[in-house]
Amino acid sequence: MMALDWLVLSAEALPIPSPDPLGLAAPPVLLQALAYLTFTLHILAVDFTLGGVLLSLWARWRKLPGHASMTRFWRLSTPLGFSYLVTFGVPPLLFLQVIYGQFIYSSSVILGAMWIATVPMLIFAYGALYLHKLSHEARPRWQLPVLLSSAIVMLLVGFVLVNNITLSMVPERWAALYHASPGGVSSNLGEPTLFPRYLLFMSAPFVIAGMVMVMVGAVLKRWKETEKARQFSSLGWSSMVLGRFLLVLTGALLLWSLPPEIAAKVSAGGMETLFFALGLLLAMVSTGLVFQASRLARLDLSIAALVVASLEAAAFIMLRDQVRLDYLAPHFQLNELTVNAQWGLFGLFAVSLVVGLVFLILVTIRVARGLLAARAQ
Amino acid sequence: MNYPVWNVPGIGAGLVVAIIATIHVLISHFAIGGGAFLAVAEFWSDRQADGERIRAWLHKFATFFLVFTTVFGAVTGVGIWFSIQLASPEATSLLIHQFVFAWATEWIVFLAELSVLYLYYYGWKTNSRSFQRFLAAAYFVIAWFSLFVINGILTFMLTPGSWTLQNHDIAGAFFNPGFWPALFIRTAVMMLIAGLGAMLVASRLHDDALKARIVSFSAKWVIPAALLVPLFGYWYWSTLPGSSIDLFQSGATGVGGGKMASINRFFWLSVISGGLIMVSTMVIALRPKALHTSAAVALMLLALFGVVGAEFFREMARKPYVIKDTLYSNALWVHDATPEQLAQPYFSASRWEPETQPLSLEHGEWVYRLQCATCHTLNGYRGLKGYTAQWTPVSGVRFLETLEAQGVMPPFQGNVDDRAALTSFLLSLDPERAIAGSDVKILYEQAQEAQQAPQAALPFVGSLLLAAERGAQGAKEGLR
Repeated sequence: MMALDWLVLSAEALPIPSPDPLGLAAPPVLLQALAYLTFTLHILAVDFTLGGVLLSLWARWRKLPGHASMTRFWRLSTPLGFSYLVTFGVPPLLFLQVIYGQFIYSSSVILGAMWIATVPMLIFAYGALYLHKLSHEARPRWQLPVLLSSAIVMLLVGFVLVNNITLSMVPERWAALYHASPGGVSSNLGEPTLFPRYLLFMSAPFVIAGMVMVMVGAVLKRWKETEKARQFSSLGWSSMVLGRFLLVLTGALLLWSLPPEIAAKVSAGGMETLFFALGLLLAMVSTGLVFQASRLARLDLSIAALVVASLEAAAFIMLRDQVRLDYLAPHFQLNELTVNAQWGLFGLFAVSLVVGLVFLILVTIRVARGLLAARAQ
Repeated sequence: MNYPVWNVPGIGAGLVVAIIATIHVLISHFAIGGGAFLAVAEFWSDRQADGERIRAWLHKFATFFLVFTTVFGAVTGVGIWFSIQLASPEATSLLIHQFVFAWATEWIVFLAELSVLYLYYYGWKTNSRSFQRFLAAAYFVIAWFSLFVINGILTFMLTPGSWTLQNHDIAGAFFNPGFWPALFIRTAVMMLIAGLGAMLVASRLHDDALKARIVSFSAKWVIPAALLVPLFGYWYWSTLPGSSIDLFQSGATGVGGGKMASINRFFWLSVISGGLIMVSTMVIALRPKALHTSAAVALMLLALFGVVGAEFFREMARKPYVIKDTLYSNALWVHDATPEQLAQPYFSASRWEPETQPLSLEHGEWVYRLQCATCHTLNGYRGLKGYTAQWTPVSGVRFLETLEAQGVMPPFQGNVDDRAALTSFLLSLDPERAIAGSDVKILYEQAQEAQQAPQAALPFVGSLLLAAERGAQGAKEGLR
């Protein structure tokens, strides 16, 4: 494994903690499915929020036609997006800890300083978005620096998360890093896949936020605001194209930087190949849909594009988990985990999920109707 | 040691958790109680002649409430989770594995809570009055249910009830002896904090008449709650384990001798803060127009002190465990704490130390890091340099031998070399008292021998005394 040649330890000498004695509360496949679902929602919220902030900065800096409307849209929506990115970030980490606890806890402690620093960083980035929104009229000069600082901090938080996740997959690095800094002032900069993986994550926001702008353009067209609709759609399409280009570039870079035996699995005809091919196919479909949506200003097509892009994200998230299992294969097998199923509590969770979603859909429809009716007047 | 230990110089991992947790507890209780306040204030404003003015203020309160609770409350909630996994990964793993679907359910509840709050706030102008009232009430009920779930997990750590590591009795774990009293205490506290939060926002009003009415309305949330907390606290007290009550009543001998009375200090901090809040609010209720923002902020700070006292009390009452009777605070499983296992060389069971020379300073330092640093720092919070200032090499090793006898610390894991190395490392924090680990071990062994010597010599001395006594008696009889 090229990535690990700087530190080679025998498997027996690796400080991998024992799995939790309680075992899993459900079969791993169920926990994985829940992790995929919720991580997809988290990534969509991240892409929406970070992409929105970046596009807002771009529109303002370049003084694009219609930038006032665009920045207004993102100013109002990004605090909500941030709120959901935090909320949707919780369950995937929860299920990750249940399945891969001994790996993620260890890497978190080794990176303790930067891991805990994400808490004030998240508060700063989130608070800055509200400050940006609420001080819009009173402090117009604050707008740009506040938004810029929020974007920078968000980018840093993403970097910390990628550091931690990559380190959790390489126990061979742990001992040296921990012995060098038991206070957790470490990073995983020695990991060859770190920057490609990070840049890949940071490319997707251009795609999703771009698609959202195309969708908003279609809504504006319905509301007879033709000029604004064209401006939104134009920036959205450009952003999506840029994002797609960056995704291809960073995706190729990531494949190239993976250990050869793991990279080879992507074309070996297994689950990795299936998820990779599915992701590529869905990416092409969503790109085609958003092209048509942008050209024809069709709301239905832009929604379909977003739905397909979400499925694409889910496919790549499943590929990512498969790659994690490939990395951990010498030390960890899912089928060796003990399962002590808690079906009663799972049932409570499932019922809460259904009841909660139905309730939220109903009240959201009612509030949305009121807002739309008010706009029509 | 299964997991690495996060060594935070000066403050320690535990205090990082405590700082984030106390801020979160204050805000999260405000987030739930504030929901009740919004709901009741919605109904109240509808019955007032100047309801529109009150609702205009209520919108300001809702803005403050939304930004404050979502930005600081939600993120510090995640922050507690991040910090406990650094401070105690073993315990976090146990809680996550035992309660994963309870936590997942709580997440759905939180998602609903957050979404309903947004629908309430963003639909302020367009929702009907009755629907706004419904949303405010729904928000409170949902938010309180999130407390209901979390409360089961929190109280489990101190009073696990019928749960054991073997039986996985989830119902017994969740509805443990501390569950109901803690739920009632927290419900009362959230009403109290909601009232204080409302007074804080109202203190900014320039309209004196409106300010007086809203401050008076808000004070009615504080005073009854402040009266109820001690009653529920008494109930909670009755569910505490005997060891916690003993610790509170008798204290514990600290590392440096003397009585460790921190738990009492935190208890009284909480009681005094609560008392001051109640008295101050009564004064404010008499002259509501006079409430200045600085006074309202001071009251909120008092509430924070109260939370600090209560949360530290709860944490200390658990000592020496992080999960009562199952897992010690330094990640030693109770079932692993048999005399045979404890006496093994410490590094034979640990995974995270580098190669060290036996009895070297590094040996002692890594024993400290992996076994003590979860709760102690060297020079700062619970600093061992200060705690061990009175130690001699021999007293240090002997103290470590009977560590668990103090009542607040886990048993020491390791053999005499580990104890000597740790003692040497701790003494070397003061250069004037530095001593090699091998010398500590020699001194200790000599002291042990010396201690045993009089006992070994006793039969010989005794026989001499007996012979002398008999000789004296014989002489007496001869004289007769």
